[in-house]
Amino acid sequence: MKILNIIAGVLIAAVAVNSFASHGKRKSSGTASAGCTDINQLPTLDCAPAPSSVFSDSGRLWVAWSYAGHVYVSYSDDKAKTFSLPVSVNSVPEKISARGENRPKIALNNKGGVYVSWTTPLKKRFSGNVRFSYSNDNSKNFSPPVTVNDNLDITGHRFEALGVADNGNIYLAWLDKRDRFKAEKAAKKYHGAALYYSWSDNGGKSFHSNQKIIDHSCECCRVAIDTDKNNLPVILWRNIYDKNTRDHTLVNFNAPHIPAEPVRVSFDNWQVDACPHHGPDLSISDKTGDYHLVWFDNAEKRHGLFYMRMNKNNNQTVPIQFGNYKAGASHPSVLSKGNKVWLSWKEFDGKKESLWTQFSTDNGDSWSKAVLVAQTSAGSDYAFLIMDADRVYLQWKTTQEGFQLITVDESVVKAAQ
Amino acid sequence: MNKVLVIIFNLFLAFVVSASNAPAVFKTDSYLQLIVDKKQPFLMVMWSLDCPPCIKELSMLGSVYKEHPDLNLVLVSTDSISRTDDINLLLKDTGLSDIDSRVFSDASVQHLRYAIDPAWYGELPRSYFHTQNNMRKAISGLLDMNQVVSWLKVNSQIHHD
Repeated sequence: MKILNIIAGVLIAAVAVNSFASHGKRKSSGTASAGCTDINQLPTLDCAPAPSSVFSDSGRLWVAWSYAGHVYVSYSDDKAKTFSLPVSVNSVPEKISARGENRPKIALNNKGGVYVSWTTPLKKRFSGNVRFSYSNDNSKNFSPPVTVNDNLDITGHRFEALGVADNGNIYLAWLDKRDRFKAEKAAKKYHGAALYYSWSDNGGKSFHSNQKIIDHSCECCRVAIDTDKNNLPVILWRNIYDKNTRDHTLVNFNAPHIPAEPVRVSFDNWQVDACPHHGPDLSISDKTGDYHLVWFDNAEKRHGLFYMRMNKNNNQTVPIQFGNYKAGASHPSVLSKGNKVWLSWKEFDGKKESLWTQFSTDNGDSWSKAVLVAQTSAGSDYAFLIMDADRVYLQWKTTQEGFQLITVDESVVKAAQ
Repeated sequence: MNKVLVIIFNLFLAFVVSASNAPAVFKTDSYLQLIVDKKQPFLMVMWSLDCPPCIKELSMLGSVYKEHPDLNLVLVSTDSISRTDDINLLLKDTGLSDIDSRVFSDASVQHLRYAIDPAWYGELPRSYFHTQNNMRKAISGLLDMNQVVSWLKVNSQIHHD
């Protein structure tokens, strides 16, 4: 018995050492505040690795983020200076993907509807389910989360994108490996993943059966989605052409249940059997209906960030390059409103990460000079362009400065030039 | 009672083993230190748990290592330190537990990547073949087994010379 106690004691000590070795560095990096480790306190946005945000029509900023098995929603009425107490969306904790290309998403319907989606990883590597929850009362209560993928094989249903149209239709698109799973069971090869989607016309109470849009998408880049004036989604993702050419593809819809034929939109010919971890972005102009697209490619001949405009009839402009490739320009965001278009991206000079923006007042025909809008020196999340009724901001969470909302509207950019 | 004792002792051993085999933390100065410390030529492969082709690559490297125990390899996971257990499990599954392994510190990923190669945009796997005279060749994407084996053959000739 005594030996047992000694061994148990050593065991506990070994566990402590092991857990210190695994987690000790975390605290010293300053990425999480004290509130993140105290189980008696509600976590704050400071604890969140990869948040998403959106403005309501009334100018309230809504943020979805995750910490320790919960997706939280909080809001700010003073442009991110202060936030409401967070509301936990999922009462039962589960794993939540939140890093780089993956994060909880949030969308609104401006009638009190708050919609949240995320990916929950499962036990097997690269497996996961697409999860969804809604609130009809401005986040006071959230529905029990549901799994949107109607295939429950322990395989990949991940990298979901969430879009809510003006009429309240909810669209989710994601990278799905059910067909690959099936092929591999039959000892057949299947390259990459597939793009699947589903939609709800009753505020998220139920979803229509999943539909495949394409086979052989890239399997680890975020998917971009926006909705058009006809309340239909447009989806942009990195696809695999031929053996290993990882270019971008776009699909629009003829009706919520009728996707059009997907079209290839980038021809950079990045041939690589790798995970790029660089997904595209997309924004549809509310006035012209044009699609504004941005992406990153690293092909030997054509590399860097690209912007392109196209429309429903697939009239594509010649892609233009932006950002400084040699300074690591990457992770672009795009936002359009009327005839105005903003671009943003990150660069790195070896010491500081910089956030840059550029804008156009003529629907992307001509562009302002690139303007540096913020810097940080200890690590940062991707940046995202968002807007309220009259101003444009960049959401940027950095290790040192925390969650920031940086104004980048026309006057700011002009003054900086 | 003896059974309980054995179970606890095995658990204890498992923890000691996992603690001692934990990948070393890769910091911004680690790469330069590696070049100094490592017998050249060596192959450094960057990988992540979030990268399906990386898992294929590790399996392939595991097979090469089995056939060629002289494979001078460093594996660097770009995952967070908090995923050390998953990293160890995968290294074990692919027969690479004995390989010199590192994991990115929780400092800025941008800084860590830049310290290795400003021209690397984070795509994985990413391999660096280091030759004897401190030259290196960077390759993005899944390596072919022949690439590694022929590199090994050339280098073993160098050693013999």
